[in-house]
Amino acid sequence: MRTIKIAGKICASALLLILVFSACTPARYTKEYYDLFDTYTKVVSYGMPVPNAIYAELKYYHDLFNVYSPDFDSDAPKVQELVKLCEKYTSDSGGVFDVKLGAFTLMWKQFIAAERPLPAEQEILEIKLSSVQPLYDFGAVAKGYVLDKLDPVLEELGFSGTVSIGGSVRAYGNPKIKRTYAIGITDPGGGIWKTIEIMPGQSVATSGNYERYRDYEGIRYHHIIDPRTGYPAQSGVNGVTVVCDSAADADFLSTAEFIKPSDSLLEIYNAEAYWIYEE
Amino acid sequence: MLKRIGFTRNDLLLIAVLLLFAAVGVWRSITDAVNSVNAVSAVIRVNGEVQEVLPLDKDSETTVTGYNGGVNIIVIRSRIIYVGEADCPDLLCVKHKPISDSGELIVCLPHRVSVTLE
Repeated sequence: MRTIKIAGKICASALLLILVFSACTPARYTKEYYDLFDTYTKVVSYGMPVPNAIYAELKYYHDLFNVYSPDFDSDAPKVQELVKLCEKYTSDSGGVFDVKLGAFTLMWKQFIAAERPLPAEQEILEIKLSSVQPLYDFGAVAKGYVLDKLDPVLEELGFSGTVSIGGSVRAYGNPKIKRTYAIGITDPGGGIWKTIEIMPGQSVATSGNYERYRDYEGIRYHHIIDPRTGYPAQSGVNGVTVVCDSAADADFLSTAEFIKPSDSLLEIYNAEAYWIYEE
Repeated sequence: MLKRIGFTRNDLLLIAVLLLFAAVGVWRSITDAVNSVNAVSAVIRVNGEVQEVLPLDKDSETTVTGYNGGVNIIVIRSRIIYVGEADCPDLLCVKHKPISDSGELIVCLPHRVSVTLE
């Protein structure tokens, strides 16, 4: 009888010990991908290795939304679904955000890569007045949209962790495995400016003019285009980080808040923003 | 008092041992948190595979061969890390501000090279 009692106590204490240790440090696994959405993708998984199914899913959406691919089909139902969402974003932001500016982004991308001369005012005007069907560019929103789309897939896999595509991050999974995730916001001048804690089901997106740009004759030309002017946005913002539940919303808001800071827009989406202004 | 509610000497011993382990657990999580603020090494990955782990307290220059044979030179000077030279087309990695805080990273997309402070 006494032996059974002691054995029971040993089992109970062993269980407690396992709980104490597993609560502190769930095993962390990472994977990186370089061929998606023209940026760097990182998956951090807690408690299990990164499932390969995540890459397959990301690649599927990469191909679907890649407007530069000859196979791109703007009439595909899933592309139309994203276009619908973007139309709502355009209307909510009063035209500050628009994905129908592919002609501008392509032009500025080439200028930033020093593959063409500075676009002339006349050229910008011609694109604005053009009656040709506008080209899409989902660069500002596809990453977040895809992160949201991963929800059911990752739930099925039992995944707990984060997926970041470029400046967009979303946390997933069981709070019992990991309750919060620390996301660092880069200081454009170097170092981590601030760390934000998010919970599974929350997202963070950053838009900035300090990674892809070209300084030319005293002006910084970057990749965030103001659809109202056709030029890279000149709002005095260096970078903005938005925290909210949906990653697509966070992506949209970080772009819109970079081009034109607006508290009322953030309120509509129940989002928080952190701006860093140019000195 | 404890004896009256059914505790034996062995029970107390067990409780003491458990408390000790719990304390070790708390201490470990605190040191983990501290370490996560102060990075100790620069982890270099090529196409996602760890290639090299460089200690930050030692100045160094490391030549990394990227996924497609391209080259990036990773420099460590007084715990500050940057890409000194590279032969990639966009040179975004060379233009990137030097990094020093845990969690910061520099990526060379064309060469599939990443340097993360961990």
